[in-house]
Amino acid sequence: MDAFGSTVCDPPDDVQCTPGLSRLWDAPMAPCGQGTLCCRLDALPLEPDLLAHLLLTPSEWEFWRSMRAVDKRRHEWLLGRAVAKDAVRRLVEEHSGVPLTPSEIEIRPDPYGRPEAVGPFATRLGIRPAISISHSHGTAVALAALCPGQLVGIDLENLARRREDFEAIAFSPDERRMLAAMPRESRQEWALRMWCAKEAVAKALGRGFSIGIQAFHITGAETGGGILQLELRDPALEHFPRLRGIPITAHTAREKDFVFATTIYQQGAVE
Amino acid sequence: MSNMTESEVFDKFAQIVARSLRIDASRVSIDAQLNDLGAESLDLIEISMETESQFHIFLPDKSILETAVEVFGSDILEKDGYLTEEGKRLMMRRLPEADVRAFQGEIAVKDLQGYFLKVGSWVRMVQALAKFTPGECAECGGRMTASMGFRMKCASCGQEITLRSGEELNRAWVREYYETEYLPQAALVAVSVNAVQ
Repeated sequence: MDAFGSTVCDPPDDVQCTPGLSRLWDAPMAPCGQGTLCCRLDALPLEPDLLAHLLLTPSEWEFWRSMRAVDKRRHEWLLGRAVAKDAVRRLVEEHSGVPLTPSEIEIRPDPYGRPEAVGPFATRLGIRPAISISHSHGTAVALAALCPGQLVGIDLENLARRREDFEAIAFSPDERRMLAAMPRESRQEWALRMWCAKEAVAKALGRGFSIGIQAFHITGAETGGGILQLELRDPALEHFPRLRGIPITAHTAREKDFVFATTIYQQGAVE
Repeated sequence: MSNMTESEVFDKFAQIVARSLRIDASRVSIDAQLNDLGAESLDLIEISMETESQFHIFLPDKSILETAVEVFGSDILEKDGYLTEEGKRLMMRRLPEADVRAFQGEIAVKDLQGYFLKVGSWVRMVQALAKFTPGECAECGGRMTASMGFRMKCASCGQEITLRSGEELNRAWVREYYETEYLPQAALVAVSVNAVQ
C-alpha cells in the first residue's frame, strides 16, 4: 500500500514478452492468404496508466498524458493502441520471425488521420504494415496487413440504443429501398452492417467520412454470406478516379450485440 | 430561430450532446471536442439529426475543405495530406476564431478535425445556418413551423418555404471567396510574374 492507501503493484515483468494481450479474432474477411490478421480486445487487461506505461512509445505516452477526454474515450484509445500493436507484432513474428515489444511499434495517424504502424523495425525489416482500428462500447479490434500496397479497413458498432431514423442521413434513397426489402426482424442489423461497410471502406481509403457519407454507396448485398458491394461516388471519385465503376467488397458479420465489417483493398484491384 | 445568440444555441446544443452521449450537460464546454466527450461515428449522426430537427436547419454532409477542393480543383488547397498556403488562407478566413499561430508551419488535414469536432465550431455553424430559418412568415408574419422534409410552413396562411442546406451555403461561401479573394489575388500574382519575366 502506498501513502494514499492505494494498492501499488509492480509491473508484471512478462507483459512485453507475452504473445499479446488481445486474442486473434476470426473476423469476417475474404480469404486473402497469409499476411493479414485481426485481433480483438474486450476489456483493459491492466490499470490504464500501467498498461500505457508498458505499451506506449514516448510520443504516444505524451499524447496519452495530454488527452483531455472522458475516461471512455481515453480507455478506448488505449485499447485501440494495444490491439493494433498486437496485430502488428503477431504479423511480423509470423512472417519475419522477429519478436517485437509493443513499445517498438508506434501507431500514429498519417496526414489524413489513417493510423500507420511505424518504428525502426519497419525500416530494418523493409516492411510497412497497414493497420485499421475500431472501438465501440469497450471493445477494440484491429486489422493488419503486410502485403505491399494493401489497404485495410475495419469497423464495429454496437446494436444497442440506435435510433432507427439514422438511416435518413446515413443512406441514399436507393440504399433505403435495399434495406426496406430485407426481412423486418433483421433490418436494424443490416442497416448497421451497411453503415460499418461504408466506414470500413472510408477508413481503408484513408479519408474517412470527411468526403461525405453518400460518397460510399452500397450497390448490392449477399445476405447469406454477409457480403456487401460498394462503389464510390463524387466527391470520393475526385480523390480516387481509378475506382470509378469498380466494385469494392466489404465482409460483414454479427456477433452478439456487435456488428463488424472489414475490407481489404489492393491498389488497382479490390478484394 | 434567426436571432438566437451564441449562448442560446450553445445551451440547446449542449443538451442535445449530453442526451446523445448520456453525460451530464455540465461536461459539455464550448472548447470540448465531441470525440473527447465519447462520441463515436454514429453518435455524431444522432447529434446531427437532433440538431437539425431542433434548430430547423440542414447541416453540411462533408467538410468545408472538401467542398472547397471541389470548387478550387485538386492540389490548390491541399497536397499529399497537408494544407498549402492557399489552403491555410482559406481556413483562416473560415475559422476566424482560431488562433492564427495554429496555422503556422505544416498543417495536416487531420489537424483540422479538431476544429470541426469542437462544440464551439458546431455552435457557430448552427447559429450561422439558423439565420436562414425564418421564425415568421414573410407573407403574413405568422409563425413558421416544421413541415415535411426540408420545408417550413406558416401556421397562419399556409405559405411553405424550402430551407437552404448547409452544403448549399458552404458552397456559396466558398464560391464567393474563390471569386472575390482567390481569383483577384491569383491574377495579381500572374501579373507580377509576367512583369519579372
